[in-house]
Amino acid sequence: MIRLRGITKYYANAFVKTFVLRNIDLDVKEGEFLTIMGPSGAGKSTLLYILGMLDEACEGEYFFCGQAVHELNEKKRTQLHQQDIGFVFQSYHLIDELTVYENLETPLLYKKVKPDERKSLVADALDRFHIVAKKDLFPSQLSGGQQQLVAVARAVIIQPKLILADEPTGNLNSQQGEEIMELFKKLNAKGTTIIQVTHSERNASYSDRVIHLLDGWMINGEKSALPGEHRESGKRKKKYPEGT
Amino acid sequence: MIQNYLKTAWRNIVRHKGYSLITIAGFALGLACCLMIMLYILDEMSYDRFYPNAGRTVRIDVDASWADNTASMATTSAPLAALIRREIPEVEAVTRFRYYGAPVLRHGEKCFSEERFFFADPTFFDVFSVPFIQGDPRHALAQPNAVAISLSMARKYFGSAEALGKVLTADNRQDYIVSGVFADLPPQTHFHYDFIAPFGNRRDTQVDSYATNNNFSTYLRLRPDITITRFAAKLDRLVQTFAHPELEKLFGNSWAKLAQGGAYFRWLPRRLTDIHLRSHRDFEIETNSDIRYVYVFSLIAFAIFVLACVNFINLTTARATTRAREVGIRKSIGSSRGELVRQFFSEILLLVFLAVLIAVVLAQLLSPYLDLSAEKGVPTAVLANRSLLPLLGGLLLLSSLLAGAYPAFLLSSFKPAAVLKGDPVMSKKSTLRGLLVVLQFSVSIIMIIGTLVVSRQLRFMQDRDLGFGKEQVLVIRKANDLGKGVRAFKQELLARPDVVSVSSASHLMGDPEFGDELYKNPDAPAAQLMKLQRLFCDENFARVFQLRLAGGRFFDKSRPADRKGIVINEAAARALGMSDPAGKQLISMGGERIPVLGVVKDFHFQSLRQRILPMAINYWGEDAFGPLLAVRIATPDMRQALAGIRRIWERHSRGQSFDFQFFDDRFARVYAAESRLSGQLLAFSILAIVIACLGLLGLSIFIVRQRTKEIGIRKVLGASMTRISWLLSGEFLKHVLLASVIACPIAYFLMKRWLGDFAFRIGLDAGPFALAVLITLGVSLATIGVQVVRAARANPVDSLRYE
Repeated sequence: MIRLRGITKYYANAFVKTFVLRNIDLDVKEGEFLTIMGPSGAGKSTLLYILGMLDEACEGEYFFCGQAVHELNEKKRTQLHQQDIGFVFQSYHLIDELTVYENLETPLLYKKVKPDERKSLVADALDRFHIVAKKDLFPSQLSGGQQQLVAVARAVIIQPKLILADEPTGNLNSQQGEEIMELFKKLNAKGTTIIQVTHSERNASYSDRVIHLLDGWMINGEKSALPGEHRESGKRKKKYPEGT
Repeated sequence: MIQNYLKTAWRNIVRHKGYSLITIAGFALGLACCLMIMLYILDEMSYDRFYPNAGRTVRIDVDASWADNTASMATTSAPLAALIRREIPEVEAVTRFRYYGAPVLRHGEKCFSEERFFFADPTFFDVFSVPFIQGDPRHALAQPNAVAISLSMARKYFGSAEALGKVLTADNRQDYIVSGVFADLPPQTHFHYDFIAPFGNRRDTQVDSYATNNNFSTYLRLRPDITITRFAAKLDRLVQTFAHPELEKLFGNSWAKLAQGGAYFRWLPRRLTDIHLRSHRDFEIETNSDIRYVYVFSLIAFAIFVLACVNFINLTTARATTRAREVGIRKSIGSSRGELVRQFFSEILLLVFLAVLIAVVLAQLLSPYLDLSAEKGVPTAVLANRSLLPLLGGLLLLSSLLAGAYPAFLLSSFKPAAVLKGDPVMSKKSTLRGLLVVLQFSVSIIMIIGTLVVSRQLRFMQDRDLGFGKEQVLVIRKANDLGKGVRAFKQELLARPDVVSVSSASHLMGDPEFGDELYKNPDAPAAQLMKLQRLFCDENFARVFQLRLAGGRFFDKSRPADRKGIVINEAAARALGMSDPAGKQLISMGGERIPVLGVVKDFHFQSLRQRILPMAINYWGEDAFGPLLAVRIATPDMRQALAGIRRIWERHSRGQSFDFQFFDDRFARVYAAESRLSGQLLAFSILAIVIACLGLLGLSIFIVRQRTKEIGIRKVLGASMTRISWLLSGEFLKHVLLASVIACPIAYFLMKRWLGDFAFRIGLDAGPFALAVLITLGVSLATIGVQVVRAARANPVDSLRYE
């Protein structure tokens, strides 16, 4: 389903290239539950954003369901993303000005789903995640766990092939975290591909496969093979213009 | 989708009340101002267009010059109208009219003095085709004692009764029979008339000189098939055939020779619709406005509009920081950039729409204070204006585009990967935003300097010694209504202990126009006719107005011969080349020898805009009665004196109303234009600086918030509060100082030009410039002060905790 070849990402200014990802090769099969682990600044989130087409690699090839993403224009990429990818973030990222109902509705609006179908999809989701009672509340009126529940519901509502989760339990207590992970497990069991980024071995244990990143390098399974050098490279600098 | 956008937008507005208020209020204020100015300009441009054939209606003007004299008149000689009718077939209709002063009209008990009474050719309503309510415009002026009156006058004299055929008695001498009632004229015309009576056999209408005695307004309507340029060419030929020979006789020289010496004489067509804004001649019917005001106000409207848009852009982009996250989220759940642009546009449209609504209300509330249409005496009813809706639509569209495009494209461009990770989306220092702030303050400073200079010039003109005494003088108008009784009236006035002196006069200082007369000095080497302003008065005039003599004497009632003599001013002596004129003689245009009795020191009988023109004061003799009676009073109790004078008037006047004013009030209208300009500039500068400060306030809130972390670190490192306050203020003050550097030269140039119009003016020193910069600095410091101090006092632990 996903094939990455030689994905490299760096930020450059006139004097220094700061590498975030180096020459990543990765294959993910449909229906897989993959965990990306690694210390802070290893490039995990960047990899996730590239997979989610919210960021672009500087070099390398990215095939999604056989389509060469790196060759698509922005419009096409948005379409692909709209159809097939759901995002879950550590800090939920719900739209503060919209109610639970409206938050769930928004991705369907972007996808131009018809009103009737939209209503029934949102109603289904509210039902499935047991948040019907909360539908008219604003995010700020919900607990962290509830917000993340809504965020997952929002990701799932477009029935994506792939869910990308960036530390989805990072801001939750252990019980809430467990509930979310169980939810992912269930979704995965029904065939949704899931890729998560996490620090927690416990969360990783829900997945079929774990890859490790360190300073932008991918270390397959083994943690020992540390390529030396580059201690400074993991630090992300503030915003620089992209490209070079 | 649009619902989703508007919902987000509305909730955003409500959630950030302070920010929304600043953004919308600032914008609304600017828009309100633009709206008022644009309505004013549209109003000015609409003058005289209500006449069905306004585009083809033309007035004939006269331009003439000889020796050092020039004349540009809105009037022509009497026979020109007939000449044009005869010689130029492309003219459909011609008419003349003339103002002979305001008669007192009486119908039964009702008695009023009427200012808008004109005599005209019977063709008048052919050229000025106003709708008739009663009577027939073609025959209304056929009978010699007919008068056509306006609807409001018909109501005033006859109430609801039929006006046609009723009698109005003028000055107890002449009866007029109402022959037609026409619709009232709108305020937007250069020529308001309520009564039109036919000339009949008036002698002045039969004068057969084409070039002199230019006393008549001549208007005509052209056929559609002739352009005004071709018509002008035809007029030029008429000048050569009919006016030049006459002038050759008058000056005793061939026209070729005269033209060589710089003389000219022209008949010029002037479009009816151009008169209100572009004609400033002698003998205009009413004081016209000026196209320059239209330009200046357009410029101000544009500047304020730009200021308001700039504010809007500044505030919206400054807030981008808080909206960035939303952009990231929306992109991550499938929004394209186009969707986001549309979202922000609809949001801005909503803000602008709210602002426009508020602007309309503001404009309605503020328009009485801005006083743009003071001259018309009608407050601009903003809501009732027909042009309002299209104007609003235009404003809405234009401002959404101008103010919305940049923020929408900027906000939608954010990279989700970056904003969701919490990277700062915009650099702390935005050059564009800085530039916009500088632009705003430049405009404010220019306007403040303008206000200061104009008000200084105004004060200078008001405080200057004018060469005559203008306090404690009472002016009684229409004193000639007393007829011969004026002499007894004067004597009774003089008997009062608080009356110093009384004088009749034809004109008074400050009147917009005086008549003129030509004289030449026979002793000068190349004797030429010079134009002298003319004023008639009696022997007390010098005493009432405390004129100072430079030589000779003023008129003396015990010497009957003085009636033939004149007193001139120093300017006239200079113009005629006389070093000691008292006792010498001048020659009038008719060839008469006129003795010069004395010379008065120059006094400013017109605005300080003008240099002091040469003047000849003529003596009416003791029994004369002019329209104006000036009474010098010396009393601490003005009210009592006034009541006493009124009682005397009532004994003599046979029911005529007592129409008086204080001379200094009457004189103040000389500077009406300047004092109005000063008031308007003040209002607009306050507005400009309020808008600029609203922008600054919004900006400072965001910049301070953005720099919270930096301030925290500095405090941890030991910076004092004062130091941090300076650090933050310095940022803003730099902008104000840069704005001053830009604004001062521009303001200097503009003010230099404005002052150039005044013959007597203040110097342009550094004062107003320094003061304007100080005011701006002070106001902007006060604006950001609260923000800055709050930021500087904040506990660093709070600001650093979240890092």
